[in-house]
Amino acid sequence: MECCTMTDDEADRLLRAVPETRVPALRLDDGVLLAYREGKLGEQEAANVERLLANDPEARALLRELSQPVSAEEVESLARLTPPTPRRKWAPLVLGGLGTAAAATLAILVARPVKAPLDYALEVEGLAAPSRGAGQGVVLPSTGRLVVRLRPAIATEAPRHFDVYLEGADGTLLAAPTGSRQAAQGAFEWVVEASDIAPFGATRAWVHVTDAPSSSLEGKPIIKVRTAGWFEVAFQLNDAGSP
Amino acid sequence: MTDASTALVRRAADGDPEAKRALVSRLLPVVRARVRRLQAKRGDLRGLDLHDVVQHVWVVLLTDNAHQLRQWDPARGATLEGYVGMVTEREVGNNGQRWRARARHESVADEVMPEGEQPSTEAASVAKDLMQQLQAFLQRELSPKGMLVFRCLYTDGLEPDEAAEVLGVNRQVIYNWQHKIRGLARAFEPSAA
Repeated sequence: MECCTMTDDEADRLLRAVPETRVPALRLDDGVLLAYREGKLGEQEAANVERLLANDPEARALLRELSQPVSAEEVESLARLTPPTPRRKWAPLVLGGLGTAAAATLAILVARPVKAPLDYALEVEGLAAPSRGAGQGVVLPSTGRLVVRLRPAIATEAPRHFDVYLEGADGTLLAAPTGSRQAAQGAFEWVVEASDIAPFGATRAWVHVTDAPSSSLEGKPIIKVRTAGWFEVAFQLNDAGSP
Repeated sequence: MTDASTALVRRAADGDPEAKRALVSRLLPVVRARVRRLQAKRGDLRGLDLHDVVQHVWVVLLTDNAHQLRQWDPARGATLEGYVGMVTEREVGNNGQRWRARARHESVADEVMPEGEQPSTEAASVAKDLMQQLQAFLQRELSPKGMLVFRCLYTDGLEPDEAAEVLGVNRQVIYNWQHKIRGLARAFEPSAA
C-alpha cells in the first residue's frame, strides 16, 4: 500500500471499509445523549458516552434522530391535545320492564361523558340487563333496536357535528350503520336496528362530537383517536333474542 | 434539574398550558426519535404514520392526569427523557402488530434509514484482516471523540455538516477530525500476515 501518496478519496474508501465492532451496549438514556449533544456533560462522562457511541451503531442512530429539529407546529399540535380523563363505569338505572325478554328494552344507562366540548348526558335505550352468568355488559336483543341520545346540559345553536362508529374486534373504528340520525340544538339521537349492527361483530359503539366537521376516522385505532368528545356505548348482542 | 423536571410534569398534569408546551418541546424529540428507530428496525411498524404514533404515545403519557408520566422516579436513575424513551418503546412495540393489521396510512418507509449499509464492492475486496488491523490502529490513535467522528463519517456515511449537527459541534471540528483520520489512514502500515 502506497500510503503516502493516497488521495483523500482513496483514504475515505479505505476508512469506509473498516468494519463495525459492536460491543454489547449499555442501556442508553435519551436524556444523557441529549445532554452530551448540548455539551452539558463533564469531560469524563462525555468520553464515556463517546466510547459507547463509537461502538454502537444503534446508539448513533438514536442520537441522529434526537438531533432532528422540532417544529413549533408539531409542539403546538401536541400541546393542545386533550387526553382522556379516567373512564367512568356505566351506572345502569333499571327503570323497569325487565322481567321478560320481550320487554327487555328499557334498561336506561346514564353516564357522564369522557370529555366533551359541552357537558353532555348520554342516554341509551334498548339494552337489557344481563342474564345470570352472561358476564358484564348489557344485552341488545337481536330483534331489538338501539337508541343512543346525547343531550347537552344547555341547549345550543352552536354548530355541533356527530359521527357514529362501531368498534371492530381489532380495536379500530368502523363506520356505523346510518339508521336514523337527528341533531338539533346540540342534541343528537341515533336509532339503529340490532340486526344492522350484528354483521359487524362489534360490541361497542362510539359517538364522536366535534364543533367543526372532521374527516372520517374509519380504520383508525380507537385508542389513538379517543381524546375528547367521545361517548361509549357497550353492548352484547343476543342472538336468541332473549337475555 | 430533577426537581424542575418533576415540577414541570406536575404543572403539565394540572393542565398548565405553558408547562404542557414546555414538556412537549422537551420530550417530542425523544418520542419521535424512538418511534423512528423502531420503524427502522421493525417491518411491521414501517407503514404507520409517524405523527399518529407519536400522538398515541403522547396520549398514553398524559392520560389520567399524566398518570404514566408521574410514574417517573428520578431516584431510579433514568432521566425524564430516558424514562419517556422506555415508555415509547414499550407502547409502540406492544401495539405494533395491532396497528399494522389496520394501518391505512401512507407509507413513511422512504424516510426510514436503511439498516446495515453494506460496504462497496471495491472496499469489500480489501482483505478482512487488513481492515481489522486498520480498525485497531484507529482505536489506538484516536480519542473516544475521534472514534465517534470516524464512525459517523465513515461507518454511518454522514456528511461533515450532518455529523456536526448530530454531535452538536461546529463543522470545523468535524473537518479537523476528518483531516486527522485521513492522515492516520495514510500513515497506517499493515503488518505482514
